[in-house]
Amino acid sequence: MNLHHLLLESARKWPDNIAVQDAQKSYSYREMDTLAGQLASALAARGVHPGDRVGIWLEKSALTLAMMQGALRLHAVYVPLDPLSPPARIEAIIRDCGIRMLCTSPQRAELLSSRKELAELRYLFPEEAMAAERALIAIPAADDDLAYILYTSGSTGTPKGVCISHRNALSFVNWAIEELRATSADRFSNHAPFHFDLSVLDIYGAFAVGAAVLLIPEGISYMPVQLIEFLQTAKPTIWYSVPSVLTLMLEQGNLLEHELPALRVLLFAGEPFPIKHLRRLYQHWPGVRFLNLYGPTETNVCTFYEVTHIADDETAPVPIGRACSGDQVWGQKEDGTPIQPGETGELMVSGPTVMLGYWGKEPHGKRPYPTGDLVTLEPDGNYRYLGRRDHMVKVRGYRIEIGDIEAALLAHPAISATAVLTYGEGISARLAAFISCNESEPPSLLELKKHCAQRLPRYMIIDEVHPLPSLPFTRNGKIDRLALKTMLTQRSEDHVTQR
Amino acid sequence: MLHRDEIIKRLQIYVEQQVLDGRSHGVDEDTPLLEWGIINSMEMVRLLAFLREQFQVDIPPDKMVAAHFANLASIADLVLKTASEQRV
Repeated sequence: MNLHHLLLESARKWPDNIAVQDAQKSYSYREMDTLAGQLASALAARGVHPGDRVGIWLEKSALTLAMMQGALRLHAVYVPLDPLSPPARIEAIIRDCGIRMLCTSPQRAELLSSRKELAELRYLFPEEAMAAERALIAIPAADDDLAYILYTSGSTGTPKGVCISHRNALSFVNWAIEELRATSADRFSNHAPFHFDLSVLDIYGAFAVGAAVLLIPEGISYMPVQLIEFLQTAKPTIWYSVPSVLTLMLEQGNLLEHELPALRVLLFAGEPFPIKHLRRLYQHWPGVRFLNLYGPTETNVCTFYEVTHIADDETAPVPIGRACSGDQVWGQKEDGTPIQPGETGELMVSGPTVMLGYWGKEPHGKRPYPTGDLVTLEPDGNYRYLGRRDHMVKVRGYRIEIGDIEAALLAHPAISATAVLTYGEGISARLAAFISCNESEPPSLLELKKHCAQRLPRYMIIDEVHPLPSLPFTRNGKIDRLALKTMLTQRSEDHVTQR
Repeated sequence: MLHRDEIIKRLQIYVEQQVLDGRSHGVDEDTPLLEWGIINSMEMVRLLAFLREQFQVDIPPDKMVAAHFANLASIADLVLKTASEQRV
């Protein structure tokens, strides 16, 4: 079974069901199947072969999804690229995994056309491809063949390509549709962008059962009033997003004042859900199932926890739960032995959802994947997330390697040293950069935002800058991040008092 | 209603002083606010409150699209248009 068989099968069984609803219109399974066939045909006519990487740099739409399907039908590999990333970042990814065909808009292609290293890159504009004949091609892939690559932030400033096979994705999707008891009557919301792994459930969960996937346009993804309007008109039965989005609708959109009778499952992942907000939702919607999903991009979703009770005095976020998708998970201590209840260790994952590896690196093989997440084991067998072992942070569900931002800042001629920290939780999380400079006048926040915007995805642009004569160091010569963190907490408290 | 230039001036001061660090000068009517992450999804809520307080305009949900917040000039046009519609 391949990822592209899901749409083909559903188109055969439920040709008239709505498959995709985007901002413009709805597409039946029959229409999506035709579109995917036309796009596969257009890609084939332009010389795309099995195994080739096809970049997709477009905003969300049914057509973008058909592009992904079209590439898979040729046994090619699709690489969804962040529509909000600057050309320099896109170029780095194109070169990293050797993309020779990019599906994009003429406007976006223009932004890349002057780049010397991309002179060989060919483009396919979806609108023109729709004129193609529908081709009856669907080349089967082996279960362990590469299906798509998702790029995430890398600690040295180069994005890392996580390679996901058909088996990796389907192990998770099949577990999810069974756990959710999803049917062709369901309506999956899609909040996450396509380059973010949360979208895998929305798209393929829907395609697997002949259900509809309702695309939320990027432009309103953090606009509480519009999101609630979307909930009311699109009537999803299954909602999946990062907790920040739910908090935002709760705090700034009066989410609880609206009736949402269609909603039956609410899934969240990507960051801890502050318990006070989750409690309000959970108590308000007794008929809705609440599921916390967990897993880095490298392992898809490998654990889950269904909320069944939240005590009034509970202050910690809900656990990440236990293994799912056919995986095994365990906490590992420094000495390599598994943790016992009450102990702390690094969460390890082994099983069918663990990625093939990073593009351009050694295959990961059958080894367990160390997540870098510290967990503790509860007496009832659930794992609880405690924090990170390294400098990776989450901002509104996006994972960010601090080193990625620091590398970009150090490329600024005036900056001689920098340390980036995050503070605040959930929707109020902020990225703060401490810098020391070799010029008397340190660059302003405006200048640094511009500088970041030319190099980094938009969600990695810093929110504040704090120039210091020099950065504090610990006795063993590392930047003293704890001292900086204290400084930040102090400043934000002062700020609150001033207000 | 205020003149367009005056709206832009007030917006510029707001962005430089309240959104940025107070040391950031040179925000002009064409500075790409969204592209450079100056107005991000979290700042948007504060900006809408500012527009309400300063110019007595409530931006309707269907106007909250990226094109209207791309830079100070487009925000000023949005304020003027919304204000004229609110009066009717």
